[in-house]
Amino acid sequence: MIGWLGALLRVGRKLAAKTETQLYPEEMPKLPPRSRGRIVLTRDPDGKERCVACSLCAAVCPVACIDLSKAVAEDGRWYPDHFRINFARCIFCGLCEDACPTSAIQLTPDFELGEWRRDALVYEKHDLLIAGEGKVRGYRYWSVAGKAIAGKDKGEADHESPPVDLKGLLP
Amino acid sequence: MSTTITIDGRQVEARIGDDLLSVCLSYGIDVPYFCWHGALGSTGACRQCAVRVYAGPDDTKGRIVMACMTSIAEGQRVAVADPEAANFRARVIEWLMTNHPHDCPTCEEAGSCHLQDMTIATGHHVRRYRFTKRTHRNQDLGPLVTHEMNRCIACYRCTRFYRDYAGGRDLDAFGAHNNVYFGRAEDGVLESPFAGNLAEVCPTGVFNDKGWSADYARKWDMRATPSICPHCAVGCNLLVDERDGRVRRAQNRYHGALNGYFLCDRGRYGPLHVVSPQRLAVPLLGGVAASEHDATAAAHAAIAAGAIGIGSPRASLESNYALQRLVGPERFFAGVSDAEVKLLRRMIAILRAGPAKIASLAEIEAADAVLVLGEDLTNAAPRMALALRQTARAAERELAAQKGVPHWLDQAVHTAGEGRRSPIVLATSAPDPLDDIATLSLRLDAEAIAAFGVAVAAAMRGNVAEGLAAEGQVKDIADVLASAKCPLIIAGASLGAAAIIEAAAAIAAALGSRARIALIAPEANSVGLALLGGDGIESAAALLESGQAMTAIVLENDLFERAPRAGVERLFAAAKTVVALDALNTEITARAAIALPVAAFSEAAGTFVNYEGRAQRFFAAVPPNPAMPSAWRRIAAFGAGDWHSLDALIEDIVAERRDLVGIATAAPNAGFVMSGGKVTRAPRPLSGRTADDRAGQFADAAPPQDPDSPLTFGIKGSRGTQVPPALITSYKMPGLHSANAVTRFAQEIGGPLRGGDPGTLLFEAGEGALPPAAASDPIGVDGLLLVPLHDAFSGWELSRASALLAARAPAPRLMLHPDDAATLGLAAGAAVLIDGRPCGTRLSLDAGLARGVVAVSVGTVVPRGALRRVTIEAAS
Amino acid sequence: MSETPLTGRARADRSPHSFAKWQRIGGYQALPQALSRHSPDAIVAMVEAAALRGRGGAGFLTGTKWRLMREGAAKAGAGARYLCVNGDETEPGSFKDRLLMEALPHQLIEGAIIAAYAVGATEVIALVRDEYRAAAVALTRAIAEAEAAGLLGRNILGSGFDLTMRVHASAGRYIVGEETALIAAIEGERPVPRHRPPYPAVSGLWGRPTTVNNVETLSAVPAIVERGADWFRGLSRTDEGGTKLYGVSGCVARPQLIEAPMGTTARELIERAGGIRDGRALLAFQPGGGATGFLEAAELDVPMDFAHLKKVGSALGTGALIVLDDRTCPVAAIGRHARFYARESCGLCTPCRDGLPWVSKLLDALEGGQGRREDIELLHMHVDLAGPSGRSFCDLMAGAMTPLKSGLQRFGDVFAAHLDGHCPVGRA
Repeated sequence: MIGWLGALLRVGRKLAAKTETQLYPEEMPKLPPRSRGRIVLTRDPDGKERCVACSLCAAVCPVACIDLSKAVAEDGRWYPDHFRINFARCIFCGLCEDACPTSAIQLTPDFELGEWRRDALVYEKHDLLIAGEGKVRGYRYWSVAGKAIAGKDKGEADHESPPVDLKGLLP
Repeated sequence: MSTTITIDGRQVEARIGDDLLSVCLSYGIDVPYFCWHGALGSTGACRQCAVRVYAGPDDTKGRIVMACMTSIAEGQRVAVADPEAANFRARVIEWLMTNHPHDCPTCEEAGSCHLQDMTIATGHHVRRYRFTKRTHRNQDLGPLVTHEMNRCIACYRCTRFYRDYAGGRDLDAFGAHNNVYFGRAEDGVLESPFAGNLAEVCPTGVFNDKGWSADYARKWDMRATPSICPHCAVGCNLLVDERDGRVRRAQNRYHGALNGYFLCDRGRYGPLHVVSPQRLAVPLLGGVAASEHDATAAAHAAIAAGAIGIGSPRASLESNYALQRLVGPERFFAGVSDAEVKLLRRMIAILRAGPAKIASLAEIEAADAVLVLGEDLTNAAPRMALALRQTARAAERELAAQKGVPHWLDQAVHTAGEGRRSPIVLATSAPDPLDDIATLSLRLDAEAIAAFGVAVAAAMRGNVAEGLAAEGQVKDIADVLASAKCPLIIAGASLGAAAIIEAAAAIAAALGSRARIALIAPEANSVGLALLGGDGIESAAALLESGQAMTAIVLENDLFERAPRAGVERLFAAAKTVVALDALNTEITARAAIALPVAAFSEAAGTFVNYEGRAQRFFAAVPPNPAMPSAWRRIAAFGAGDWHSLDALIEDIVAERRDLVGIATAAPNAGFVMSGGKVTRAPRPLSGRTADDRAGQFADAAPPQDPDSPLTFGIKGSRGTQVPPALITSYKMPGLHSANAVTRFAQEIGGPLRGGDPGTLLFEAGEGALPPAAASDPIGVDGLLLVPLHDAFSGWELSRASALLAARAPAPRLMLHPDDAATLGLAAGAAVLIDGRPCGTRLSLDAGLARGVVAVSVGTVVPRGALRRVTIEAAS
Repeated sequence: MSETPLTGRARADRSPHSFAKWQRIGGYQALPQALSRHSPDAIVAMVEAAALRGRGGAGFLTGTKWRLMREGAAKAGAGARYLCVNGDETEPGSFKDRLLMEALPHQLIEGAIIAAYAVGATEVIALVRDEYRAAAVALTRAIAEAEAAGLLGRNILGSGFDLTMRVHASAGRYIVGEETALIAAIEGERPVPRHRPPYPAVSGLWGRPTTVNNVETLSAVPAIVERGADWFRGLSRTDEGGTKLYGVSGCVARPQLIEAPMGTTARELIERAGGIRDGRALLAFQPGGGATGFLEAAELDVPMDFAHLKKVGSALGTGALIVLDDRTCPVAAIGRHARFYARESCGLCTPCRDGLPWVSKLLDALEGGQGRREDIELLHMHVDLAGPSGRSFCDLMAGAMTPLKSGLQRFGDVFAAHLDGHCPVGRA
């Protein structure tokens, strides 16, 4: 019996309490970086896009709302020649960010994604690609990958020996 | 001899003499492995398949052995789950991972990678190696195969396939210890026409399909459809992968009696002709783009004026039949020369009469003496040449078996075999890639080959002819064939010589029912077309000239490749209107008054009948496109019938033609459904399905319908080992994502698929007596005998339209023996005329040619046709 | 001479004797006896009775190996049969065969001819490691001399026995000393070991019956035929017949080859080699080359033959004693061995090809003061998982793991001490 009385009092006290309306959008909520909002594609410390079009994000997406295809740049890097996310379908689960092996795709705390037209919710690569590294600083996939690209030859990635000289005479 | 062994407590039947790994895999016990391969046997290099084996009930300790190198023994007890063996297997992965690059996101193999699968299977997941990785430079191996040596795990499968199985010489292992390298002595194009198989044989991403990489999609994102290679008459089974409505690549689809685990490069890369710019994409009127409405209206009008139909050996049986129904059998013609029609009819009559049985590729491999008359197998029916390379090892295997060497210990078989070779006699006109496995290679012109064959047959009956080329060998060869347990005769239509076919028949008849025979038709559906009937192009022109019809409907055929130009020009002259139906732009579609685009082989379902008379079904790999319907649908719209599905058409075919009733059982019909639904082409997850869904409509809610097959394009459907073999879209098993999973689908390693190998044989040997041969047309004596040169990387117009294959194909050739050239006063590099007509190809000389012949690339420089003599002279 | 029948006639400068000289000092007496008085089976029985064990490292009874060849060859049908002489002495610490080939080629040839006669070989191929140029020259010349004297060729000494012999220089890797890799090398293939079964006696060189014997083994044969099996057994201190050409190297005052009765102890050998140099104390020794386990002072009196050394957890191997003094760091010594074996791996199988470089790097890191605790666990992992026979394709890996295993067992504290960031011994 005392239970519902206590609940009434606790709730009723609020009638007299000071209203604290957060005046959004003048005051933005402070969301931690891990908040799962708008998805971006980030760049590495050299300013090159991180995405190598591996398709793991697309594969793990529970609603299959990511579509991309791989192309190869002049310097040998893999990159997505198109990268599309349908935010009308996205559930902001963050599995794509978990799956990405190059820290390219990341979710940001930006939740302001409302649109008037449904097809404006389909983001292409130019809508997704940002200039910076996002939440992950300093990671560069090509520094650890074995595949050679212009400017990073065989043997020049982290923890690599120079390429074997098969024609050398030493054992 | 059979015995019962125990594997992790489970009792299984096994054959004494087999290896333990094969037995485990055939029972679905997934012992991890790398270097073992169903066609290449055991090597014992990777050490991945470690298990504990107890010698008998009293053995409590057991010892850790490699399953692939362990013979089945009576009372054997095997512990795969043994903790120490499992730990060792995880360490093997750990050792391989010390050097393996962090490449998976940028490696084509990822998602269908055997190394990934085995890594997950063994449980190794923490990197303890903290030192540097060895790296390698790559090589440019040509337009078909990529090379990324950092990823190599040194399983040696590539060199074992390329050198030991396929006879290639220019790929090898170099270096030692952890520097070991697999490549060529120098950068350069891989020479073997089977090099593309490296992409499937390599368990990691060292070798991959370069065409697939250029228009890439992950394995888990591509729908896969069972199909049949549309090129040569072997009829290898394919899996065609598609994404976004575009074919991305073709892979091998296992068939225990035919292609097994391997394809030739024409079959692997040729299918990409469907994405070439040479596609006929829109209807044409007089060579100019027109609307579907106008073009079909014009076609209807032309057909109403009286039409003949010209079929094609590369079109499906159903499309050919529909055309035959539309115009009537007396007005239906095969789209090849009269001579080729006669040849094919005779070949089929010979096969039907017997007594020699028709040999599948598996049976070819089991032969112990072979005579090849005239066929350059490596270039005309490449996959058959690959089979013959295995036949050659029979003598080696026999000696090795005598020494107690198990058949699966491939290298030991080779060593113990002391270089013995089974008797394989080649009688061809030009140097042959199979010369290196032949015990005797004879270079003879086509007439001499026929005479030689006749002499061999006569010698078997006790009459030894005299005054013959190679007469000394005739008796020896006859004796070898007669005393063999399983002699095999191979001949075919490549040289256009009817006499060679007769000679093959005579030899087969002399040998009797223990012999096997294979007669190679030119194309994927040559036999199917021949069964339907219809005379050749010359007869078609004659009928048009008689005024009985005005219009010629040409079905999927560049006639200029398949018959002498004169005959085709006659046809064009005699026809008032030519209506061409094709998937490609050709000279025919350019010159036809009306050209209508039809579906390519990957866009429609149909049946091809291969050289054995095996009817096999192929299905559409991409959703149907109403602008490019199956040819038979267009023909139906012209009034041939009102078939709404392929099955309806097939029902009509088998109702009218009881001899073709086997077509209906080549694959389950469209009504076939399993408990999980229709068999699905789609893998999981097939990503991106909702990415372009802009109007709130789920794009995949109504997947494209395919009325012609029991397959669905949607993601919901049946998969797995219960799928009928003709409908297999994927070998994916839990934990196995690469082609290596095929072991689950076969009855035993290397044997037929569970449920039987796909296809239905439409006829068998021994169906009746062979009518006497018709008199052959005289050839004359002036000029040089024309030897059509086939090329594995060229083929006919379909495969040549594949950009990838075209990049690999050699330039067309025209060759003379140096002595013949000298007689004609021609030097190498000369420009020549063939029968007075200029030829774009310069003369080259080859002392390996037979005398009295001119070898010319067929399809590109000269068309197919009857065996004939031509004059070669200098162009002024 | 009677105490050193194998090497007694060698010149101090190791130059070979000419054929004429060799005959004068008593050579080529056994061959005529063998061919005229004994059947091949009798020779096999004699060598079996002599308890001659293969001197290439495995210690397999030579007579038994020959008997298996005769039995195996019966299955093979008519055709060539081969005797291969294994002159690829690349085991670290071994240099005995070099002396026998350079200084006593005719002794080897005589032994090879008798062996070929015993096993029914039609050709002898002597594989000599590429670096032993002088040995190859001496052997080639001696073969020519023997041919000229009618001891090779057709109908040798009127016996009806035909035999040819030639030298094949290897292209220079350790693995060529493994008998099936040796066979592959002679065939012109990559010198990668082959699976047994089938054994070379059934399917060896070019698929024909083949026996592979070590240089020292064959060099001992003439004396056995000449003086008898009992005499040969009597030379030894143990059940294993004959003398052994031991090598002593490492931290001794006078590294040298010593021919001594089989079963001589390490203490005696070290003493004859001048004892540990610089007056230091013994740390440990490997009795049979780089692939044998360490023994310490407690085992100095173990008779050095195959059976006794196996019982104490090591092996006779090639009888090449490598001596470490107390200023030698066992980690560094094992690291040097590991570097060698890693480089000499043929590259066929995973544990050896990818495990040995890792082991080598771990040992280098430890020795260089960069070792971590996990490194020692990883070394144990390699020993436990890759060390046992049958884990790798051939025994190179097992051999490489053997010194590491015994090193970890006996000097585990020294390994652990390296984790402080420097080598406690301070000198390699």
